Amino acid sequence: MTGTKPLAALKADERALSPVVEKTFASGLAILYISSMMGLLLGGVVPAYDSATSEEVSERTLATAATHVEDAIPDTDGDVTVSKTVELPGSIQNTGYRLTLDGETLALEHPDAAVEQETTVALGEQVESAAGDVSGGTVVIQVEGDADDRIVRLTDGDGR
Amino acid sequence: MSKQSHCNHQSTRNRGQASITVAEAGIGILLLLGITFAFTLGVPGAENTATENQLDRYADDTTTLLSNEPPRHQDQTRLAEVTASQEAFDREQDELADRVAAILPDNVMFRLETQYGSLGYPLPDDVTTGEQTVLTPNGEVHLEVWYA
Amino acid sequence: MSGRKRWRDDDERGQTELPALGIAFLFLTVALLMTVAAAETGFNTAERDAIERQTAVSLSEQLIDEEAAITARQNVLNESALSQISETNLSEEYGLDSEQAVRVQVGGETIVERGDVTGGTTVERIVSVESQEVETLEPTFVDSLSVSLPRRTDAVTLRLDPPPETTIRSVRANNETVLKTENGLAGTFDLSLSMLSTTTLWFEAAGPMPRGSVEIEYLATETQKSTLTVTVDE
Repeated sequence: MTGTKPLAALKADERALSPVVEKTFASGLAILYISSMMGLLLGGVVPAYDSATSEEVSERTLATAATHVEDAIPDTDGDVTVSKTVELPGSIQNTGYRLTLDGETLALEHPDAAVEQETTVALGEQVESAAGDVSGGTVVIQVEGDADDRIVRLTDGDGR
Repeated sequence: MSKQSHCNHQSTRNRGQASITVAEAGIGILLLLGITFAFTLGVPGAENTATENQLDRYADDTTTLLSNEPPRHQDQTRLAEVTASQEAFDREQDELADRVAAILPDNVMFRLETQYGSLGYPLPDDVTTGEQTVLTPNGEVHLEVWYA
Repeated sequence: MSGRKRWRDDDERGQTELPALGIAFLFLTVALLMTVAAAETGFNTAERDAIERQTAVSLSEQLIDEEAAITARQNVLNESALSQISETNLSEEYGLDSEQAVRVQVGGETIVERGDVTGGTTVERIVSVESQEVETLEPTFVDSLSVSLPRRTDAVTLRLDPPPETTIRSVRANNETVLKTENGLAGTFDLSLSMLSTTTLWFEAAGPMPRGSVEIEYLATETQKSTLTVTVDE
């Protein structure tokens, strides 16, 4: 209202804290809260979900790959040449992975041990697999040979 | 602190004490609730993939069984018979519809399409279906199944 | 004076701000915990058990394949061969891990179970179960020297034992001559017939053919629709 000398007003103050200190204190508390919550989340919750999601992705990738390998093997007699392309995720948890076919086992190899999976692929009696491994991304499944002796092989597709 | 003016004090009261902090906290909570709803409502359930997979298996098995069944009259299999000609289709379609209904479980409905016509139930719009197409010497037969 | 009053207004608001801050933090923490719980629920809903499903489907495909030990044809199980699956060959022949619990049922009855199956993924396949029985028929020829076999069959054993004055010259199955001779047929013959339609056997004979001259033994197959259920629990 009418100008009073601020200094005089300040000297006469008997409050506990000034608003400036109040607000500073409040923002300090808020920053402390946010950083501690962030720390808790990023330290505990997020990595747990990250690895759980990666496990799920690797499980689905492996199941898809195994199903496609089984479907690619034809029933017909005679000499066949089959080439089937499957699109798989390029990387899991930002790291590349490899698919290995060995005998009747299709395995997914990954630096994180929890993400690694293995499953059995039903090839049938006359079909053998050429041992080999491919990286993720586009994978080509090749089946060649005649009825008595077919070989199924995985190769890297074009692109990544 | 004892120096209070009633006039000013009352106008303070009428202005309301809602602290800005509470409003900010309210917005924060709304944001978090929004994220919560995204997690609970936005995730697709497992049913669709599993259902479709199972229905595809049913369709595959049904067409396999039909393909290997002896026919009623001349042609090689029941399915080949129905795709032989328009008259053959008209003649055989009821029996074939009964046969497909007998093969499939009770809660599964079907629609079978050939180049001469379709038999079965009309296909609803928004259901998960499984399907299988079979090649007979006379043409293609397409079977679609869904849960009732 | 009025300056002081202004400070007083702020003064009263300022003092209540800290507890309000505390309560706000509390609400935010509760909301955050709810969000994390919802994320956990969402994750569990998204669980697909992909490997379980792939194993179950793969095993079911192997079991109904025409080359499988328990099938007579594709998708047709041989009832007498159902005992061919046992827990031991689940790993060897069908390639299952020893950690996976598996249960295979036909028509609701468990034919093999390994491990503890509680839940897991289930795949159902539609199959026919075929049971075979040998049936014998001794026809009495009334109107004509022919007999229609009541079932479609592909394996028939024919025993011809005509009375001495009768000569059976030929036997026809539908329109095809299967046995023919000028001197007279007698003895046991195995016939291979077509399953595509029911067979009528026609006999061409000179002389009476009483009951007992012809004995037909055939393999009657009965098929029944059923389901093969494979459950895998990891």
